[in-house]
Amino acid sequence: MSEELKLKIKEIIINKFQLEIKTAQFDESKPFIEYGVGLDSVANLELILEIEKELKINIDEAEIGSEILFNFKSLYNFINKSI
Amino acid sequence: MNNFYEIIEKNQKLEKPALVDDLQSISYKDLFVLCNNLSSYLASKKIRKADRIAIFLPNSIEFALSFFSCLNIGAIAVPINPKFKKNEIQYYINDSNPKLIITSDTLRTVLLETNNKLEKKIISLKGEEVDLDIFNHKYLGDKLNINSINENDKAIYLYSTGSTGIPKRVTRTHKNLISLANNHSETVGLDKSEKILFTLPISHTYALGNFIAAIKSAMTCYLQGDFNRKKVTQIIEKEKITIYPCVPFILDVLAESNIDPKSFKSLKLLISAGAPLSKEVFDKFSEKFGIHPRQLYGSSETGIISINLEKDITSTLGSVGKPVKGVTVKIIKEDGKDANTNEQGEIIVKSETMTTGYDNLPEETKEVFKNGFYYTGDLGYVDKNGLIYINGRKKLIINISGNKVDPTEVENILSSHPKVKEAAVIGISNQSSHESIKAFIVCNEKTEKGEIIVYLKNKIADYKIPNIIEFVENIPKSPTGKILRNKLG
Repeated sequence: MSEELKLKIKEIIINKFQLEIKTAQFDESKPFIEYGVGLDSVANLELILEIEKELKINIDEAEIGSEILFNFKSLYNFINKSI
Repeated sequence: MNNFYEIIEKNQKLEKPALVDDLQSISYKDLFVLCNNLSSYLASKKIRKADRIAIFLPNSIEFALSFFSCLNIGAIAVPINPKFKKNEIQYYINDSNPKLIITSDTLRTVLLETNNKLEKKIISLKGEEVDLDIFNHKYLGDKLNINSINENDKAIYLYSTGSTGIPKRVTRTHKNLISLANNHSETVGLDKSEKILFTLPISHTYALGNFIAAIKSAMTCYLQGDFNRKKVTQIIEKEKITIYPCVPFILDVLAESNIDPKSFKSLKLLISAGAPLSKEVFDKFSEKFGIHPRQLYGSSETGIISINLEKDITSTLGSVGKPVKGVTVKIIKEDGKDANTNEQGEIIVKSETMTTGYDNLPEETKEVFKNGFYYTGDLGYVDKNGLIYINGRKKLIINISGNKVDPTEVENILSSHPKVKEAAVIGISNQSSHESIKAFIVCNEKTEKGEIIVYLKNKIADYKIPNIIEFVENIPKSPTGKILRNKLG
């Protein structure tokens, strides 16, 4: 499940931010800012909505601070706990 | 009534809440007393008529008190977006040259990081270590000389996003603001029974117009610093909010989120402005919540221009409605002649609420302020029922959920990166018609996207940073060197 979940989240991020990489190339430790992810509240909310829709979960955006949106690992850990 | 002092003085007799934020609630009587207290404090700081006071605060009771107190003593309020970064803050401070900056403990740090010489000008009203405990500050006793304020005196500086890389300063007078509050409240039929929620910054023209109209009408205003779905839903449901000014992005998010539609049953007027409302978002929202969003149109230069209050909203949903009271709208064709019904042209506006030009920019002023009209740069038409439709714009502006971004400003900052040779920035739309920013960059040497983003993040507000960056070999240009943006995408 966790690998499947990871893959799904990576796909959502790659599509949303039009990243020119494959899921296998996604560096889980690389700060999101270097991918252009988590830059502003509008884009963050769009990402949260996409994750909610795809994974059928509810997220309180107030909980998604810069520490959660630091890199893939931190976001994944948060989502994994929310499921 | 000629000023907000008189309006608030009159409303103080009503025993009802005026402002409610996360921390407290104050009545109209409190609002009157606290504004007088703060006004007298500002006067004691030798703030005089036409001195500028910057307000660097999010939506809060402290923001509202600061704003009305500036007006009371004839100072010019200069709201500065608390989301701005160093370069931007520096620009607004330099341009407005405020005598005082009202802020919070947290934002004081941001200001000092921008320029530590600002310390002497800063007053914190919000936080744990405030310089002035405004809620316990006693009136100093000097009666305000409200009669010294003329209706044509400057009341507020707003900034309009241009397409030249530099925001243009717009001054609005006391008369402009009072007319705006009167015209909007009369057009919409606002009254004291209404409760309005603000999650958009009341420092910006759209929410500001609604806010001052709400205060004029003695409504209760709920002030939130940010948009949060859970909180918005709770406030609307618990407080029985009747009016909520939004941008299409917020409507889209609410429609897509897991929210019980019953939570919104108290809403009577849901306003959408800042960006075009697509049919898709209108339908999604209306279907889910059973209330139709109403488009409103305005600008920093004019205030509120029009609102769609048509009974038959489903067949007119794309319209921004008819002009509000006191506003004249015309459509002008390229040859300068008036357009006929349904004929496309530029939307021009005349009203008592609008400014007469951009400060210190005679050329730019001459270009768009002509014969008493403001040339909005928006393209559209008026139908046989007098309804205004907007379907394009002449200006090079990207609209990020209501936040206007000047591509030239972003291009200039991108080009200042040592590894960037040149850059072009455009807006791209997704399926819900929300725009995001895409940058095309030509580099001198191999550069990582992250490097560029980190560079921008220190210089401009987050919403101005391109979500998508493409490295290219060259930027398409005309023989005169103008970027051919329609060839980018």
